[in-house]
Amino acid sequence: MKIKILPIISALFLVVAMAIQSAVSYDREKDSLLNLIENRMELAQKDFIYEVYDMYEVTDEISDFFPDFCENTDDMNSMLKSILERFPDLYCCYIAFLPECAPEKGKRFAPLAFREPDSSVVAYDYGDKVDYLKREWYIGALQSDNDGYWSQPYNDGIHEDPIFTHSRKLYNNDGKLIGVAGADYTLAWTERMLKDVKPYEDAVCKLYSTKGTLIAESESDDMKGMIVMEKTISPTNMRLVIGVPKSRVFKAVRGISLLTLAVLLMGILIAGWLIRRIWRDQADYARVETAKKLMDKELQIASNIQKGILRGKSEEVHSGTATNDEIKKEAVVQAVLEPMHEVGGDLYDYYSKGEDLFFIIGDVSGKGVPAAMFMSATVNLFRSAVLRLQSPKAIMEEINGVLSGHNPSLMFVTAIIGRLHIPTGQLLYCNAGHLPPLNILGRAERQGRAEHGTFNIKEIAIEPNLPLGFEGKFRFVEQGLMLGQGDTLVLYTDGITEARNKNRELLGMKRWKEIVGGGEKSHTKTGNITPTIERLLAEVEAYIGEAEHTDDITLMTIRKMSEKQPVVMRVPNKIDQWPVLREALQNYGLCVGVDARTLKKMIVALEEAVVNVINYSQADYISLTMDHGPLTITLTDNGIAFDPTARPEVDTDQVVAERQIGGLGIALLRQIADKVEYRRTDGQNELIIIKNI
Amino acid sequence: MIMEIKIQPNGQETTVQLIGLLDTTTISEQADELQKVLDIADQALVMDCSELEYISSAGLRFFMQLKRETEAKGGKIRIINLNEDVADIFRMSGFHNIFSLS
Repeated sequence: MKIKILPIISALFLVVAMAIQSAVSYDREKDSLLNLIENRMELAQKDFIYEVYDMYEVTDEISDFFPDFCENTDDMNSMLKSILERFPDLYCCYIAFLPECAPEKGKRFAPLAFREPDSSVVAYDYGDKVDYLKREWYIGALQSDNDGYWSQPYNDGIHEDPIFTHSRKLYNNDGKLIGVAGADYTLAWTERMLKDVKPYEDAVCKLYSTKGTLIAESESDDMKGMIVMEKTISPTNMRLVIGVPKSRVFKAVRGISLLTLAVLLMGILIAGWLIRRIWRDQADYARVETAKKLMDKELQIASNIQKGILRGKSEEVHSGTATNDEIKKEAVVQAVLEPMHEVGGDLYDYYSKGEDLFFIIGDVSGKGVPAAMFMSATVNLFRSAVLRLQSPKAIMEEINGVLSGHNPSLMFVTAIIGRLHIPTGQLLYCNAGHLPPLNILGRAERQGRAEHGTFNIKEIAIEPNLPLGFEGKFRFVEQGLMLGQGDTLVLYTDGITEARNKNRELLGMKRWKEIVGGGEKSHTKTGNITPTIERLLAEVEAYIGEAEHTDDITLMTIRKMSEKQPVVMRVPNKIDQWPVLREALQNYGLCVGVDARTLKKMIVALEEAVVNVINYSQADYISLTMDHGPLTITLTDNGIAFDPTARPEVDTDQVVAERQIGGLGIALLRQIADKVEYRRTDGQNELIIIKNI
Repeated sequence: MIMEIKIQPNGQETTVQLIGLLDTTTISEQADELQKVLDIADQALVMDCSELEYISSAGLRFFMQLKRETEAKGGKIRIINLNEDVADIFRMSGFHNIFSLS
C-alpha cells in the first residue's frame, strides 16, 4: 500500500514544486536580468564618462593655456590645433570671445581648430561666419558653473553625425571673463559604444538626448514587449535605454526550471530510492533479525531436542540376572557428545535389555541441521530396532535399509553397533565404516603384557563394511570379542582423531592411543572407577587448546566390572529352541575368535547332538555351556540316559549306499569334533564336544 | 526368513535355488515348499546351492529323499555352486559318492 502511494505523492509534489519553482525563479530571473542590465548601464555610464572626460580636458586645457596664447590670433590657432591633434575624437575646439572682449571690440571673434574629413586640421575664425552669440552652448556655458555646460546633441549641418558640445567660461590672467571655450564631439562613437553595452544579442540599446532626440541606436526596433530600463548619463544630457525581450527571461526561467526540475526529479528519485531502500533494508533487517531470532530459538530447541535424544552421560548397567541383594556394578557406560554447532551429526545411544547392553556410536556426514536430522533418525531407528532384534548385524541392516531407502540428500552415517552380554563379556559388534574401538585392558587381561612392554590397549579389529545409507541391501559382517573384567571399551568419532591444535596438527590415531592407554594404569591399580571419559575428554581438549573445534566430538566408554562368568544357555527341550542354541554358539565362536569355517562345522556338530537329545531323551531342558581353550561345548539334559558315543561307528559311505539315514547325524558329529565324551551324573546326560582351535 | 526355495523352469531343466540355512528347524518350517520340489522329481533338477549357507544331517536327509524320488520317477538331480563349508559336510557324509557336485 505504502509503495503504491509513493509515486502519486512524488508526482504531486513534483508538480507543486515545479509551479513554485517557476514562479520563484521567474521573479528571481527577472531580477537578475534587470541587475545585469543595470550593471551594463553602469558600464555604459563609465564608458561615457571616460569618453567625455576628454571634453572636460579639452575645455580645461584651453582655459589653462589661454592666458599664454591670447596675445595674437596665430598663437591661439596653433594652440587649438595642437589640442585637436591630441584628442582623436575631438571634432573641433574653439574660443568664442565676448563681443566686448574681442580684439576688435564689438565684433564676434571665435578662433577655431577643425578636423577636415581628410583628418587635416585647419584653423579659422568661426565668429566671422556664424552668429554664435545665440547658440545654446554659448548661452549655457555663460550660465553654468565652473564644470561647464553640456549641450543637447545637435546637427551642425556640416557633419553628418550629431554633435554635442562641452563649453565653459574662459577667463584671462586677471580673472576677467573674456568668453567661452568649447569642444565639439561627434557622436559616431556612441553607436560603437551601444554595441559594447548590449547585454544580449537580442537586446536593444538606444541613446537619446534629454529632450528626446534619438542620438544613436543599436537596432532600429522599437521596444514593445521588452523589459526596458533607462538611465540618464550624467553629466551629459543623454539618456541610455536598454530593452531585453521578455522571452529571454522566460527562456532563462524555463532553462533554469528545467534544470531545476531535472535535478529535483533526480533528487526525488534518489530520495525515493533511498527511502525505499531504507524501508526495505529496515524491513529486511527486521525480517532477518526476526528470522535469525526464530532460527536461533529453533536451533536452541533443536539442540535441546538433540540433547534430549541423547542418553545421560553416565549409567551403571546391571544385568537382569542379578538379584536385588547382589546388585553391583556390572558395567558402566559413559558417553559425552560435544557438538561443534548448536546441533551436530554425531550420535550415541545405549540400551540395556535383559543381560545385554546394546550401544551405538555414529557420525553423520556433513554438519549442522541436516546432519542433526539424520542423526536423530538414526538414533530413533536404533531404538526401534533394538527392541525387536538381538544381533548388531540385524539392527545395522534394518537401520541401513530405512536410511538408504529415504536418502535423497545422499547422507551417510558411519557407526558401530554393539551388544555386550554383561555377565559373560561376550561382545558382538558390527561396524559400518566407523573408526576401530579401543579396548583398555583390565588387570586380568593385561597380566604379562606389561612385562613385554606392550601397550595396555588393544585396537579392535573391524570389518570394512559400508557406511549406513548407501546400499539398503548391503549384508554387514558381524564380529565378536570377549570383554574381560575391568576391560574398558572406548568408542569415539573422528572429531577426536581429526582434532587439530593451534599449529593445525592432527591429533591422529597414534596420539589418541597414547592418550587412551596413558593414564589408565593408576586407575586400575587402585580399582577405582575413575571417570575415564572425563580424563580422555580433558586430554583431547588440552591438545586442541585454543584452536577451533572443527567437528563434533563424541566419546563413549563401556567398562565391564563384574567377574567373567561361564557362558551358559538353558532352553526348553524343544526343536524350536535350536536357533537359540545355534546363535549362542555362533556368537560365542565369534567372540572367542573361532574361525568361521570351523565354527560352521561345530554348529553342525551341535545341531546333531541337540537333535539327538530332542529326539531320544524326553528331557525338560537342554543346557549349553561353552568354553574355549580348545572350544568345548557341554550339553546337559535331564532326560533318560542315552550315550550317543556308545552307538557303533557308522560308515557314512555305507549309510549313503544303503540309503539308510539313521545314524548320519551322530556320524557327522564324530567326524567334525576332535573328541566327544559322554557322562551320566546326578540324573543328567552330559555330552562334551571338543574342537581344537 | 532364514530359508527360501525358488523353483524356476530353465529350458529342459528346472532350477531349484536353496537360500539360507537347511537345518532341522527350517526343514520342518519349509516342509510344504520342500514337498513341491519332491513333486517335480520326474524332471531334470539343478539344485543351485550358491546361497545355501548351512546344512546339517536334516538337510542332507532331504537331499537323500529327493534322490530317491528322482530315481523312482525317472528324473535327474545335479547339485551346483556348493560353497566350501557345505561341500565339506557333503563330503563328510559320503554324499559326494551319490551326487555329482560341481
